[in-house]
Amino acid sequence: MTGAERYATLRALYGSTSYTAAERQLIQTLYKELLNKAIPNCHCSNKYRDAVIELCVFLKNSEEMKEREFILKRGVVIHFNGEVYSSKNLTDEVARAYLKQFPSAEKMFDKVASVVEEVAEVETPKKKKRNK
Amino acid sequence: MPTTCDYFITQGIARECADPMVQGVEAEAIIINRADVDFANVEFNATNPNIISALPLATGKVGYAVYQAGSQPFSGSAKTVEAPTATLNGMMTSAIALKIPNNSPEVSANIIDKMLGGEFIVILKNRHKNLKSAALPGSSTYEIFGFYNGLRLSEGGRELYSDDTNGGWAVTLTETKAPKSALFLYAESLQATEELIDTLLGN
Repeated sequence: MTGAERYATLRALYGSTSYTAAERQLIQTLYKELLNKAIPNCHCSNKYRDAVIELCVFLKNSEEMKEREFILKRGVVIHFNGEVYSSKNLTDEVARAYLKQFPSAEKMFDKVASVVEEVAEVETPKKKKRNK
Repeated sequence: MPTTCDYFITQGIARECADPMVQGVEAEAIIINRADVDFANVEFNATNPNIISALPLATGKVGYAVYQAGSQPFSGSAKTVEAPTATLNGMMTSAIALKIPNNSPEVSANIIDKMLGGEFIVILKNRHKNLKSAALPGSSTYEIFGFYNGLRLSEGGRELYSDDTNGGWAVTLTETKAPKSALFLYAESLQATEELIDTLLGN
C-alpha cells in the first residue's frame, strides 16, 4: 500500500467507534509498520480509534504522502554512488542527481520531472533589462 | 549490421568443484504477460548477451507470483534442443509445467481462460545460483523463459481424480524456436536482482 492508500484506508476507519477483528488486525499491522511499535495495551475502549487518529496525523505529516516526481519502472534498478535503488527506495533527490549524470536513463522511468529545463534555467539566468 | 555470426566456443568444459551443479528450482517464480514488457528499454549486460540487466514493464503493469508446492516444484519443466537443419541453426524449446490445485471461478476466469490465448514470460529461481563466480556471483539464480517467442499453452487440463492437483488444473506453457540456450536476469549483484524481482511483483 502506498502512503496515500494507507491514508485513505485509515480515513475510512476514522469515523467508526467499533472495529471488526479484521479492522483491528489491519490497524495493528499499520501501527507496527509505520510507527515501529505495538499499540499501547491500555485496556481502554478507544485504543484502536486513538491509534487510527495517531496514524492519520503521522501520515499527513510524512514524506510518504508527498507525490513523488520521479518513479522508476518496475523491473529496473539503478546503481548510483554505491547504492542500489528501485522504485521502492528511490527519492526525488537521488533521481534528480542520477538523471543529471545519466540523462539517457530517463527512458527507465515511468514518471520524470523536468530535470533538463531546471538545469538550463540555473545555468543561464535571464539578463536584466537596463532602464533607458 | 553484421551479416555473419561466429559460432566458436570460447571456454573449456571443466568440473565445477567450488560450486557444483544442483538440480531443480525453488518453489517461487514469476509469470508476466509478455505484452506487458517494455521491450524497447530492455537492457542486456554489456559483456554477456545471455544476461538481461533490466526488464522494465509498461506503466501500471505487474508480474504475478507463482508458488508450486512439493519437493520438486515445476516438475516436468524442461529445455530441449531443436537440432540444426540443412538451412537453419539449432533452436531451443522450453516447457514450463504448472500445477494449479484450484478450480474456482476466479482461477478459471483470471488464469486458465487467459492462458488459452496469451503469451507469457516466466522467471524461475534456480537452486544452482553460481554464487562462487568471481565476476558475476549469483548470476545463475534467475532464469527467464519465453522472452523471445513467448510461452504459450501447449497442453493441460483438469483430471478430476489427479493426485498431482487434487482435481485442479495442470498446464504446460511452451516456447519454441528461441535463438538462445538460456537468458538470465541479473542486475550486477544478486541483492540488486532481488530488489528488481520485488518491483516486478508490484512491491
